[in-house]
Amino acid sequence: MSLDDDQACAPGAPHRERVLNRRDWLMRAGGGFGALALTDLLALDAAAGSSTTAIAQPWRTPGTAKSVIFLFMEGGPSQIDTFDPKPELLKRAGQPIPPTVKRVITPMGEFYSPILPSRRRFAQHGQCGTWVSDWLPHIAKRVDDIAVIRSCFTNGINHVGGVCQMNTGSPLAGRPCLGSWVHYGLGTENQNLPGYVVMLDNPRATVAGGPRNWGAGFMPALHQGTRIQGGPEPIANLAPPRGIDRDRQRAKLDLLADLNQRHLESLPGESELDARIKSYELAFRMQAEAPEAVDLANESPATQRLYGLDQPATETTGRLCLLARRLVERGVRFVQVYCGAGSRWDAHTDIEGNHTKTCLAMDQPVAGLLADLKARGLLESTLVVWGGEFGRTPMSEKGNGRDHNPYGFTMWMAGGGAKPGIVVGRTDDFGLHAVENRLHVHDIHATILHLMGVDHAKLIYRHQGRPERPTQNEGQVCRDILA
Amino acid sequence: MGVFEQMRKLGAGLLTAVAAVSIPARGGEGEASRASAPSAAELRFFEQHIRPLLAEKCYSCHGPSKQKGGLRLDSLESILKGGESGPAIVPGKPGDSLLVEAVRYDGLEMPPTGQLAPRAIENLTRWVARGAAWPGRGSAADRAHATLKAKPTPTAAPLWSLQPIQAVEPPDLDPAILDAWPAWRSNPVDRFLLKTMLEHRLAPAPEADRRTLIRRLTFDLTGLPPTAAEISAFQSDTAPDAYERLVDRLLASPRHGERWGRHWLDLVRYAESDGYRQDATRPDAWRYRDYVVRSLNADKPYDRFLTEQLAGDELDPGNPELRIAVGYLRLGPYEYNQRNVPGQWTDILNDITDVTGELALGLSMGCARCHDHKFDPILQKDYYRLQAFFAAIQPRDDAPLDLPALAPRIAARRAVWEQATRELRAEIARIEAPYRKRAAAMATSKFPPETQAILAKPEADRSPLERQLGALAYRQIAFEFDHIAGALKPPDRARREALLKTLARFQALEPKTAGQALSVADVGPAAPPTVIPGTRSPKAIEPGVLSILDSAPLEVSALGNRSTGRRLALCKWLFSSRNPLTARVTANRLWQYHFGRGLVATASDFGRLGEAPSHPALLDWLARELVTRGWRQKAIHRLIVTSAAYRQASERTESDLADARAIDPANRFLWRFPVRRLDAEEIRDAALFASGELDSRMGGPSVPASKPRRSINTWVIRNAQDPLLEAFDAPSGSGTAPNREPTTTATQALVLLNGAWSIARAEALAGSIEQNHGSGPERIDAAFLAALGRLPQPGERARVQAFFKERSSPFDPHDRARLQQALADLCHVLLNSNEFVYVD
Repeated sequence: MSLDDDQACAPGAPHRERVLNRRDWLMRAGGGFGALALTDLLALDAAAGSSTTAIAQPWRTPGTAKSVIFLFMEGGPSQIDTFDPKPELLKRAGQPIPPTVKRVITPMGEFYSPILPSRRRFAQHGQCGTWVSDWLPHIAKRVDDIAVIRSCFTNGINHVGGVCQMNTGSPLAGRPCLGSWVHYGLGTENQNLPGYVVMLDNPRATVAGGPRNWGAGFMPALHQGTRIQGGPEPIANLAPPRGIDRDRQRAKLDLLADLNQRHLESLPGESELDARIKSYELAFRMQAEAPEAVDLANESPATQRLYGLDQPATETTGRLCLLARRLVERGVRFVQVYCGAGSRWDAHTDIEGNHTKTCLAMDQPVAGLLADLKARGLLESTLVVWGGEFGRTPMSEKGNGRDHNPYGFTMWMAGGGAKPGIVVGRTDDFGLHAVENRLHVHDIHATILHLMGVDHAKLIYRHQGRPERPTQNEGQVCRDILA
Repeated sequence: MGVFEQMRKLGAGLLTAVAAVSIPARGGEGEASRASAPSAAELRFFEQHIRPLLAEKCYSCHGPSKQKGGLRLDSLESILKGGESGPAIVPGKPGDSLLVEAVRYDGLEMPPTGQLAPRAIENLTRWVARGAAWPGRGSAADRAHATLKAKPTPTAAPLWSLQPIQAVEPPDLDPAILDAWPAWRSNPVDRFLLKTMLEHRLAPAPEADRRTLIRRLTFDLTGLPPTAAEISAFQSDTAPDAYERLVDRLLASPRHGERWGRHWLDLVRYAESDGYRQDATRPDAWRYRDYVVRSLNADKPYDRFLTEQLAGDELDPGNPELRIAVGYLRLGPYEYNQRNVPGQWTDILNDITDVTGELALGLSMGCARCHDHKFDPILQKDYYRLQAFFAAIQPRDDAPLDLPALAPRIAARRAVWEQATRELRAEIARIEAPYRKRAAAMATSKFPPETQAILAKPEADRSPLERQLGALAYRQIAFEFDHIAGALKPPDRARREALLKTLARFQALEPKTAGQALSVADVGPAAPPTVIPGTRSPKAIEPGVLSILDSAPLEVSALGNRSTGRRLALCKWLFSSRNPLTARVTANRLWQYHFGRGLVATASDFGRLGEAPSHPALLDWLARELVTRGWRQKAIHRLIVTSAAYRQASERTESDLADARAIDPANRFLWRFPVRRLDAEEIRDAALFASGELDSRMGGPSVPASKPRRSINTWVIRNAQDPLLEAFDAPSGSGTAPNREPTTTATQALVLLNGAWSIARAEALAGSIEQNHGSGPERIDAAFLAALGRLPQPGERARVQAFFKERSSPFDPHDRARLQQALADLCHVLLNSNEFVYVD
């Protein structure tokens, strides 16, 4: 590798824009779903006697989590009806928000609408006494493992901007999502499975903004998330179409390998051509391995019940949560589960009816996931993150619904080095603005990355000459959340 | 004889005879590399933690505009000089530093609006304790930086790309060298390249064979492979100008605009949908795509091409073609239900500023949106000076595309239709009226009061900005009107539908028009003020170029009472000799698309974080050549592709390869032609071409990717890319894409191997071979010719015959179905092969 190539590269930047050197093509031609981790690439460089970077990985820190399961409540769950009780709202039911509260824009223009208090009953749970509403009886039993963050805020007031920002840090399209950054910085531990997996509880739904929410933005596409579904073809195009059996496929691949080999001999040393040959072999191996990873048949009935697979209301989300555990067990780095895909949490009307259903669908599966991870000793190394793209307003919409609230909302984390049994931050008396220990999306991302052993300020991807960071040069790790 | 041996024979003396090319020094590096210079880590710490902190918390009172207490904190010199209370810091001694005391609220309390976060105080203390590293500390560059804000001068920061384009001549090479490589004699491009190569003790590769050349050239200039007949015609063409004639034929082909138009569409982040939730399609967007293809095919001069897109309406308001061209300003995303209207308008203008800055100037202007650029001499003010050129734009969705001469006839015809349908339309309006009123009130109520107030104002009373915001907000009301049918009560709906049916019977009376385009015109002769957001006493920023090139506002004259003339003024400057960037950036892009890598590898970043040019003299020569040749791109294409450098082989002998790789592993000096993977569109188009299915009709409204049209004519939907194109790294249209990022992934293998689309192409190819060649052995030849443009080698033929044998039925070697299947499999394998997806 030439010194020259690395001179323009900021120290600590693990990647250069153009395919110029060996490390670079290894990145892009990782062949598998899992690119080689940067660590491996640098080790390769060091082994090759490269004098430029040795094995420095300035973005690596001693992390506590190996994997992340991000449970995305798409549409925006109401914080004031779940984890952030606001007795003040009862006193002011039907009144407008007082003028002392900072005015905000909401998408349906509901700032001046009357206050709608929560109809939920809240109680304190566990040793820690965290408040949870009666919509979430199962999660309530796990609060001693959970760090509730009541003071999140974001910028996008609409779904597409909000979901995009919760994934990429920016409400505008074009940046890599958090999963891509993690994949880029840490690679994956199982080359035969995608390192970053995305699942939707409704396969026909579209997440607001579409698949670009798990896109790699300006990074090479190999860092993007891969949609997985249950069933015999969990990954698109994984299996050949009906009528092409294994033997026929093998015969084609053998012929292809032969022709490619002859071609390679005419262009010796073209490593990209070689990588492409290997990518076909890998595709063939994955065809055998991936279906096993997503096959739930070997899970015991007790485990299946734990996730609610035995009840129609919880079966779908239960499957995805159980799949998430299986994937994490097999070394997948970042798993994202969309609960309520297609903005199902978006209760502009009838918050009671809407959230009763959406909470029911995920409460037991999510609690089951936490319990199962803990029982298997995986919770220590798996960070579970729960939340939506924003929360909901204390003001009513159409009498019985709630508008979007990006100004203050709740998320939670469990496992992976997050401090168990705590509540962080506070919203105002109305649950509208986050006022204490405010966590912007960048702070949330910085904290997740920190737990995974990545310094968000040091992980750099050079794009069009600029050193890009996952938190756009902003964001602070929230120390209160660290165990 | 290997080329290296050849070089040794020529003797080292020749090499020293070649004058060294002076590479312009990168700004400030000479100074910064002195022994006392702070370490890179310290500087990084400063840029990451200290400069942003100072900028955010201190500059407003102690910066360029205000110096409270005589203190200025935006350069180390002024910090050390300090203010009325003395020096602000003593490097290495935080305990003696006033600044540290002040932020600790230890005596002085700064900033007065509230104490900094503990982390920030800690960082500041650490920075002082470690000696207060500042880039280019104490250097001329630092002093220049301090004065840049007050009065930028072109010498302040010697960034190579901002220097005037040098008038260079192609180097004179020693006759002995030219005798050794006679092919490199005549094209000036080659003289530059050969000289640099020899300076690095590299030698060029021999010319590639004819089949390789025609395949490389045809893909490069048209995005498609050559036919077998074209290959053999070229192979047997013994005329000395056979290659040049081939170049001319391909440059004249209408396919050329389709290929090179796609490069342009990458840069302008072309898409045919809004992005965001609704991701509504833009049914008229294709007109812009066709305009691009037409322009490139016609070899429209680049200065004209870009001016038409930035300011076509100001250039010639009556010209329908230019109404389409300014659609460039309409390519960004749009959110149909964004109630924060001023916020969305800001996003739209920022997007245009960012893309235009990178596209035309090759600078990452976006960095200067929130602060002065940290590495390049771009002030925050410069970002808004550039944005001010676009501040007056008003989007139009209904710009008519009829020639002005036809307007009276169309109007007359429309009057007839209007007369005939007056009653009908009035009746429909009567039915809709209450619903529209309600819908408008409902949509309006969702906006914050300020926006509602604008909507309530009569158009005539609105300021230019209010007219823009009002129009943007009104789109949300119009959206409700467009969907009014859903709001109607059943009886009203039925009546309205019946009336609409009757109305449709009058369609024949309606004038035929050329349709409409997404376009732009200025909101009027006066532009709304452009201000830097967050400034306490905002002052309107006048349109201007980079301060370092010209700090005065650019001269702008309004065009009558319809347009500010700002965009036209920008274009004049872009293509004037005062701007060293655009010609360089454009020449470099052309080079990049031919060789896969620009002379400057970071094609949209000619700043300090971009790469320095590999051949600075050649870049300047080429930029001047582009201007001299009237900005005609085809002339530059011809110049580049007829060079010996372009005609080199990719393969080299193993010993040459090892030697050259040791010196220049990235092939920056072009000692061979780089192998490249086809772009996503090329792969798709080539598969359709090979299978004989390609429908080569040009342009028109986009079609789904399932149709066998060229990829450029298929829908580009921001939120839902075609899986094949996406897998092979096609851009999604969310940002400008100056180059493709080719990856090699298993996903690609799966799409091409198991995807239904690729299998269908293989079956179509097999079907046509079967039809023309029956079931004889010549089928193998036909498959190779169709997919790869060549016959199989004997070894390959034997291997494929074995494959057929293996695949045939053990009981009936002539089983037709099995043989058909094997042929389809062979075709599919060929479409998957490396040879198919790579050009060398």
